Amino acid sequence: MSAGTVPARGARRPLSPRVPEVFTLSAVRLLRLELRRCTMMWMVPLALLAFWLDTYRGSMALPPLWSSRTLILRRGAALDDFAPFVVGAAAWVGGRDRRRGIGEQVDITPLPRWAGRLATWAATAGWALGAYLACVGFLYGAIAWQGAAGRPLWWPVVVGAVALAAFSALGFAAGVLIPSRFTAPLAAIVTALVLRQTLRSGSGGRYALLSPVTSPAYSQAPPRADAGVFHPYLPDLSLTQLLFFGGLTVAALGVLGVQAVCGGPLARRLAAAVVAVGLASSATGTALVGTARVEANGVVVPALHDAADDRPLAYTPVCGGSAIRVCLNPVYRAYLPTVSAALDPLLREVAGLPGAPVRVDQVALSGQHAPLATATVSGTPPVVRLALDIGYDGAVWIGPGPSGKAPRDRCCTSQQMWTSVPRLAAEVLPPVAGVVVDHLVGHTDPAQQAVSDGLLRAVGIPLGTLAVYSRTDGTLAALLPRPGTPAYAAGGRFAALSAADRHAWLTAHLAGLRDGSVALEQLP
Amino acid sequence: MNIEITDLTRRFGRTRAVDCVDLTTGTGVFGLLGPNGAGKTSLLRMLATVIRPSSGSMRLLEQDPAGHGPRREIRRKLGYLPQNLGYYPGFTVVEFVEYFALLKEMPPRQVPRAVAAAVERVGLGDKAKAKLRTLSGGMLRRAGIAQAIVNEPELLLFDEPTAGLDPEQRVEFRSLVRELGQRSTVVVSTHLVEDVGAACAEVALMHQGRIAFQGTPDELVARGAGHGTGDAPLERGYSAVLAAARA
Repeated sequence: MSAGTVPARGARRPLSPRVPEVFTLSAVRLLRLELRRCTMMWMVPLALLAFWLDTYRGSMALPPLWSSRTLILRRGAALDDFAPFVVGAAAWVGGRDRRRGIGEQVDITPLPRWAGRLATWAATAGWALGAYLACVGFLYGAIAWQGAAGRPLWWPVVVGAVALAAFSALGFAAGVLIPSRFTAPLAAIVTALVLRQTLRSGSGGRYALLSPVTSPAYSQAPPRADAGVFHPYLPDLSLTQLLFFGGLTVAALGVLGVQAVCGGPLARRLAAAVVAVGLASSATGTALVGTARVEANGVVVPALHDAADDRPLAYTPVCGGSAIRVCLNPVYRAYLPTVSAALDPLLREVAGLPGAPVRVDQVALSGQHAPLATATVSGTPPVVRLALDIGYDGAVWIGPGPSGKAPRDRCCTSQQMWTSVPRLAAEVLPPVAGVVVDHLVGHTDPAQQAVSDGLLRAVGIPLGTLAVYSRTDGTLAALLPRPGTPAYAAGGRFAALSAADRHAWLTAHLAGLRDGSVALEQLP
Repeated sequence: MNIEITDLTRRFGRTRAVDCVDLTTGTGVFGLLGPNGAGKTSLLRMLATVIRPSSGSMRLLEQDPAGHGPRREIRRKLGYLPQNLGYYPGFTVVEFVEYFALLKEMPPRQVPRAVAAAVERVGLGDKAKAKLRTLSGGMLRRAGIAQAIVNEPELLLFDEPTAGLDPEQRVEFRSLVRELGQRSTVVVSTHLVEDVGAACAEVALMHQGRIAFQGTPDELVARGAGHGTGDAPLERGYSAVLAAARA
């Protein structure tokens, strides 16, 4: 300490800077200082590790499609990875003034305490959002680098970022209001538990839709594997979530101003107004989600819905196949060879028959919880409308499942499934064959049943699987002839014919068979 | 006058920590002496606008701190070193001082130079980039002094500023305080009467919330002539005044 080092002082310098200068340079310096020493940066490696293990590896194991590789992210896995760390760190930082016994010193500084706290929160949220966006950016970059088909979906990223800001604001406010050393770990644990509970309460009502963390098993509207492929991505729910989480963020930050011991009446009134605006925004989001409808293309919030989003996206299908053309959305171009090859035995069998489908067209998934493949035949000339659930995450489970008696078996990943012709032939062919044969032949009389049975056996479909896949929900399988019956025997004989003989007989007799004028005894 | 307080009282429950104190002082170094629990820290905290008086009037830097606007203006020109210094262990000395410079709304462009000057003045230039958690108690105290003086305040309040400082540092601190007192009002609350004798032009001795003595150090020494106990003349004056107050 030395008086000799004191610089010479002339007239006392002005201590009241101009307001714009305070709001620019001071804020930047304060933020830079806080960023440099923010506790959140020590949490970033943990969040990155969780993201890598949970979100990144799972996403990159999915088929190289934007809609599927963002599926895990759209289910909120990244938010689930980050949120406990962010809340804990924010609560720790929020309580530091009282914990460190520095509150008295900072409370008597002229800068409104609210402003100081906002700078501290901004640094925490900045680290959290920076890490989150870096992770998502890396994931999107890797997806793009590998040439994934389709286009990136941005709404979920924005929702995740705003939700993360809300979590950090809530954690920070908790730390300020309850400045205990136990607040941070408790807040982190509670956040993790709440997110887990949100996953399980997804079926509890439309209000659960507000949660950006969803479970495909419980949610009313889990993210779809074909989002943004056939129809524009519906932003209604995202907008509602932004209103809700944005409001929570604003309200939590406003509370910091109301609570601040330093600040004039004007600042407190302003803070109270900010809290009111934030709560109003959150309430609006909650009210809007109460009016939401879960539709085939996603969640529709009437007040926010743009009818233009209901119009299908225009595209030129890519087609393949020899006997009957199989056409897919160009996003799924990579899977055309395997899908065509899997359907080929059936399509060769029925090609050229009177009333046979002229084309197989891929259509959008019809529901939120779609099976692997569903098909219908409609139109003149008839066309098979085929919905394929390509790109969902997790393992594929095959077998009769809940509607059958046998338990389902774990098969493979989605990517393994959709790149393997034998697997597709086992899983995708039965539902398509069921509806195509039913459309062509029918199943009302013994002759029709025998021919249907023969055709399906000729294509190589185990009849038991039809119970799961038939469009008639098992009816077709139930109406197929039972072993030991004359129709079953006739079906076996029909299946044993050469493909050319079957085709020739069907060409000659299919019309009669359909109108019921062919008896069982007339079958070859 | 930079400090004008009249009939100032602060109660904590039934306890009157500060009891009807009148005090007026201008530029210079003002010493506040007294035994533990005399009310020195409570008086200092009121002067620092940390707590509000229960009754009485107070004007600081010719403004009434009761109003928000004047209080904010006073705080811009205020430096305060509390008895128990709080700090962020992860901050470096420079960052800690810069943090307070920014909270004190100093013009941003002047902050780096002011911070460097304050750190140099307390002799922490070679520790400028050391984290606070690595500093000794005396060094932390000096970092606290640096944050208090970084805005070149017109009113400086030091609560036990030399606690933890070694003798050499205490001498340097007194020198710094004398220099600061040439342009500002510096109030030093301390147990150490030698600090008062060396640095203060005026001194007040508090006892049970009241001012038992106010005058120059020489006048306090005179009170001790032939009375009291102590090794130094100021200590004898201190104990004589206290003995009289207790009687």
